[in-house]
Amino acid sequence: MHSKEAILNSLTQIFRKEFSDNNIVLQDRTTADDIAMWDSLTHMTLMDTIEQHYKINFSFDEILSFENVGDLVTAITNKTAA
Amino acid sequence: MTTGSLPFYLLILITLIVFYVSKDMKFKQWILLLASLVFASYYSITSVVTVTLMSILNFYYAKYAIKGGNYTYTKLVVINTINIASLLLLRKLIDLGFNSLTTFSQGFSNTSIVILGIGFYTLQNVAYQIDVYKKRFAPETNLVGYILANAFFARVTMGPVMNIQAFNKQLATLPVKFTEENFTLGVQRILIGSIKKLVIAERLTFTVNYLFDDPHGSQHGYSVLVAGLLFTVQLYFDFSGYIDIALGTSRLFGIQLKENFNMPFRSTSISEWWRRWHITLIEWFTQYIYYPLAYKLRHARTTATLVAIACTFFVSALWHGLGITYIIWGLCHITYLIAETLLKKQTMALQKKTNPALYAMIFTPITIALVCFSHLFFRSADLSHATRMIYVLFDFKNFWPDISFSQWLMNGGDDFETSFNLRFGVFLAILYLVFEKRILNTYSFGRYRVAWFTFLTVVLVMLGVFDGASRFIYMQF
Repeated sequence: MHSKEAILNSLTQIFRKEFSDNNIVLQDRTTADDIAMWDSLTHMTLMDTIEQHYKINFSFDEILSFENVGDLVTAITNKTAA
Repeated sequence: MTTGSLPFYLLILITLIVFYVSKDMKFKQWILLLASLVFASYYSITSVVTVTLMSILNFYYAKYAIKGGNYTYTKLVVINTINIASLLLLRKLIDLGFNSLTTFSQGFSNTSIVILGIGFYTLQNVAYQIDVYKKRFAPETNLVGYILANAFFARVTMGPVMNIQAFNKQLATLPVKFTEENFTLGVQRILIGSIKKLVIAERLTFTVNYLFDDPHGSQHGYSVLVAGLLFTVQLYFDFSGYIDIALGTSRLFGIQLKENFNMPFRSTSISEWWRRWHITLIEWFTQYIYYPLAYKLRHARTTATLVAIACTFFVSALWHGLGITYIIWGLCHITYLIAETLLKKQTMALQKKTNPALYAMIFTPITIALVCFSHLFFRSADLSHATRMIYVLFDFKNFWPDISFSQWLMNGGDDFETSFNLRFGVFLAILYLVFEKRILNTYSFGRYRVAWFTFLTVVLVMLGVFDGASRFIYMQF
């Protein structure tokens, strides 16, 4: 199981690598509007990287329901705790 | 009776009176449905029968399919095959002259508009079945509301596309009283939409038709350049004008439809263009085609994105029509978006380093030019005409006309009116696009309301072109 803070930190590293941007700092309320590279063209690739990193699987509806990074962190916390 | 015509407003007036006299929610829904079927019957009885039958079929099918909690994938494929096959078959029959009562009289296409809005409500029915199958929503229980969601007269013609569930939610809370807010926002939006259509788009119609449909219209690169740009501007003012009227009309009944445009001429990339242009259609394609495909193939990383983009815009092209010109239009956007995806990191890095105003000054014209280029195919009657225009566009030796633009235009217009309409139309279009944000955000309550509405009405009456403005370009889809 990973703590919420640890997940947020590792997600920040994943986002930075995925979008080649070392200035990204994630918070619970961060949305796609806050990160220029994060849009519908890059969303699924990003989700795939996160799935591979945590060795988890998101359902399609789950991925579309994430409104911000906080939702993503909660989903990862639940899946890694199981 | 077209959206925005005098009989249309008479229908609204009568419907509004009966709607607000009644306090009963069910009766209000029946009134809206009756008005919608009267509106559709103006186009053809086939329109009324088709929208009613397709709605009833989808309403009861979802109820039947989910019985026992077992809406199987096979059942979903069956109903959506019927939905899509009906759309394609009916369009094909119309193309073959099955019913040629109503045709476009001013060029662009000979496609009849006998079955009103079928392209739009088919998308809604397909989405409804997928949502019920995926258990995102329970099946609807209100048949009147379901038919109304598909046939609602304010939007049946050309959208905006909206989930049936989202529309029906609003039917449960229709307003009892005619509020000042609904009146002000509704009338303002109708007036702005009418100005876009009748004062601006209509002034460009003759020149656009001349440039695309007349053999003398596009004889040198400059005229093809003007053709692509003018058609894009005309399409925007025509289509977004309709959407404004649809949103304003719905608002009078307390129903809020989704926005379909958000200042697309300010886009700095093609993906941004599609987030600002025909928003509800692209949201539908993103939700029901692009994302499911990108999700299924996501382990293939960027390849998945590229395949999903290609499939989405290919289907979008087919939805617009079965012609080769639509397919090439789709291919243009597939190419643009694939290039954008592959170069995303580089363009983002450039954007970060560049002053935002300078970046917009460079990339907005490039984006608009790419869209205009694709519209040469979208608007052309056939492929040979489109390819001739492309050839002429890149024939740089013959780029500029030997005579002045006005003289050249006169050959097509044979009177001063055409030249005036073009210049005045372009001037008003630029004026509107510059102040677009401010105009759309001017919600006039209180003491300035009368002055603002009077100003909009005077502009419409004094400057509107009322001859032959009976059709909207997107009606054929």
